[in-house]
Amino acid sequence: MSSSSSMVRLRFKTLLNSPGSLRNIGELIRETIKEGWQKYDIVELDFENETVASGSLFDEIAKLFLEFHKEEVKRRLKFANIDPWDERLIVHLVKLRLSNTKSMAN
Amino acid sequence: MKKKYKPESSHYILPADAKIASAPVLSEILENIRSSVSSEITVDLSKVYWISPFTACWFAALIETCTNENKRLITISPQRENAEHQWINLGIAHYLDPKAPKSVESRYSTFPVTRLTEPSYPLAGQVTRLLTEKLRGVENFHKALHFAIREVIENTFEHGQTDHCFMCAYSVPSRQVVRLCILDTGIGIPNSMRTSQKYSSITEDHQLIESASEYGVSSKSADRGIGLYVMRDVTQKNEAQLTILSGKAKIDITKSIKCSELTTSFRGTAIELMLRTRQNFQYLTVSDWEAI
Repeated sequence: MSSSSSMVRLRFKTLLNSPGSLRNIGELIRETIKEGWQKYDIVELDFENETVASGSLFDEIAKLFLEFHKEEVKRRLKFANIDPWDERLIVHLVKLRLSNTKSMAN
Repeated sequence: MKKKYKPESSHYILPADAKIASAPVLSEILENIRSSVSSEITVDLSKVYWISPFTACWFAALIETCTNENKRLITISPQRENAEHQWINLGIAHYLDPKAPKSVESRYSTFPVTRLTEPSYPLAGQVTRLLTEKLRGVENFHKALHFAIREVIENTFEHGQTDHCFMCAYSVPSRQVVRLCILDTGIGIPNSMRTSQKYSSITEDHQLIESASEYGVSSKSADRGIGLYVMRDVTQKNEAQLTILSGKAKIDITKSIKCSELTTSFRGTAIELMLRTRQNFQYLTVSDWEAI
């Protein structure tokens, strides 16, 4: 983890070495991002060019959009060195989460 | 009909087309071996003309069953050339006998049947590279395959209550097709789903498997269940087939869904995926944060 006054950078490969399933690691990343937001304005998740391709891990990150306002998440969460297809997968899962929540509310 | 495959208690003749389509027969053979009092089991593959990754995984599970039950396994190898090559290249010959050849010249790229004891994180990427190196560069196809392998392995260990599974795959560059199978002998999808109170009263295995492939449905909690849903979505949008075999159900997903009921329950889960590359392969649309 490295930080400046307004931003903290989380290294994905360090988090990936945590024990548990990819969903467990996704939960850990989500909690770490939320902790980061308590101290810093922006949390940057550096994927270090690692292809993740995990629906369950990214779905846990997508859940941030249910806990916080979507514009706030988009502004305060940044992805660095991410495989473009992983970014597509995150966007896809966020859309699914939001549309599912919307349809359940109706 | 049953006598055709079971002329005597310890001798089993595999059907000529020993693919996942023959799952009802193969499930029955595995169960018969488990319950057989005979200490010697003969499995005859002489009539087999086609061996798929599913067959390879099934055979690895059969070897394990015989070992666990202290039964001596005798195999009559495939006689037809095509099946004989697949027998070697998909790693079954070597799995049975470490002195057997690992490969013969083939137009296939193969990931031989392998026993996985953990959801190895880098494996999905390695297998994807191996299978796609000779295929045309349809990037979204490679990414979809990577995703599928990772999700199935992860689901096996997370939901199957097992400490291992078997995986086997091949690709055929001339046909631009990949076929892979991951099989475990854990509790199976229907029983895993029934551990959740929400699904505990559903008796039909195929209903539970179909539910497990819907968005946000999981035995663990209501806010999980992504992997099978995305795989089903990719399958239905492309020239692909996803077969899920678990308990008494076999579900074949293409553009439509076909459910078959097995007489003999399959212990665990087998997932076989066939994907064909196409220039217009559909996986994920562009990432558009603004659209959220």
